[in-house]
Amino acid sequence: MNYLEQERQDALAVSYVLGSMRGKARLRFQGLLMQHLSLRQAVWRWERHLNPVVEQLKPVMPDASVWQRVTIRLGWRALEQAPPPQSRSYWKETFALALVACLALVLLLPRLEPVVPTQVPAQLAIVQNSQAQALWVVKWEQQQLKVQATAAVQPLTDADYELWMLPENGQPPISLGLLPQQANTERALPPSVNGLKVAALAVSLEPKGGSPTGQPTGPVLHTAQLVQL
Amino acid sequence: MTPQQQLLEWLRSSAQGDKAAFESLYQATSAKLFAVSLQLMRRRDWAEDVLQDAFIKIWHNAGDYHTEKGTVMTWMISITRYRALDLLKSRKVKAEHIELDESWMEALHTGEFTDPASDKARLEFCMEGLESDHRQSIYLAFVNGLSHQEITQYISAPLGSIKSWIRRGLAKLKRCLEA
Repeated sequence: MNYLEQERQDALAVSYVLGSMRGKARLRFQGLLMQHLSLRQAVWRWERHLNPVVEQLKPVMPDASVWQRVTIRLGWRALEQAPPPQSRSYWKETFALALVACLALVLLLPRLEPVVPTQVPAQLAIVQNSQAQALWVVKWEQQQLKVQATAAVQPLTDADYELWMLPENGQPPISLGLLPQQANTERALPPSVNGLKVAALAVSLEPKGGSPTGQPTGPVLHTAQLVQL
Repeated sequence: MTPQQQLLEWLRSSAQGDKAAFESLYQATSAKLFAVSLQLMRRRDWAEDVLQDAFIKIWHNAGDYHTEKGTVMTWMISITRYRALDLLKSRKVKAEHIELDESWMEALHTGEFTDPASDKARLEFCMEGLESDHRQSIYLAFVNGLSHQEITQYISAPLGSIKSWIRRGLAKLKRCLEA
């Protein structure tokens, strides 16, 4: 490799490490990193140079719930010990989005049953990934669960996503069935949820066909809260 | 065993599936990595999301660590910073209310780096050799995740100057560190 090329690689590497490379350029560069060892080496060199700068920051203790959430996501901890699900706290940020989605849902979902005037108001949850993209929109009605999958759902071939209801009284999670990987589904809510308050919904990764034990066996991928419509 | 060797030992065990070792690694490093994340995200809840994602990645990628990536701490900082930089864009963090943590700058002047042969002491020496505008611009970009444009609001200088200061400052820093 000639000298100019090395200079160019170094300039890109430092811009990446510093963080001044943003957006699409950053993604493209990550692709190049996978292909070129010399580029990775240039990045590592800058990381070795610059990272000690932030090692000198005053340590700040994170909340104890962070470790709990790590162990839940790694599947080391049973779901029933899960911390309160306000964990993914940008939920508040997306509350407006949720409201918009609620309205859209109310307007767009086919009303298959006649509207009963005494019906309990429906509740809604949006399951999001860590990029705050909506994955599933879950509408919880009096006896029914309607789930709409979005295009952001990662398709699985030899596993399934399973939805769980976490009762507020600390009782073990109750399965609400498998989540669709595309389109939408409707099903009756299991009778066992009757009379229980919902602390949160959770999505776990399970073997094809769902948990063999009736309790979550795989890692918890997402949690979401129901909002009253 | 030095602290660095201890971290390496925990990471090695983590790569082999040792959960207790991973917890020790978390206990030893999470407050430092959280400080890194907090400087970039500026919101405690978002910074915690970053920390959580970073440790998931550290567990899964523990076996990919090697010394060319720096010390274990350097490697873990890289993972944390890149996760934060990814999220910075999607969460549209506003740069208006930054509280600069000058503790590193203080350390420069109080001589906290006791081992003169350490990389940190070398970095201290080389950073001190930079002009203060250059050093501060690099700090705002690297530690606080500010874009060049945002830095112009902190250091009253035109964008062209900021860009040039960062470029020249880093070039000088590199020459000094690799000398």
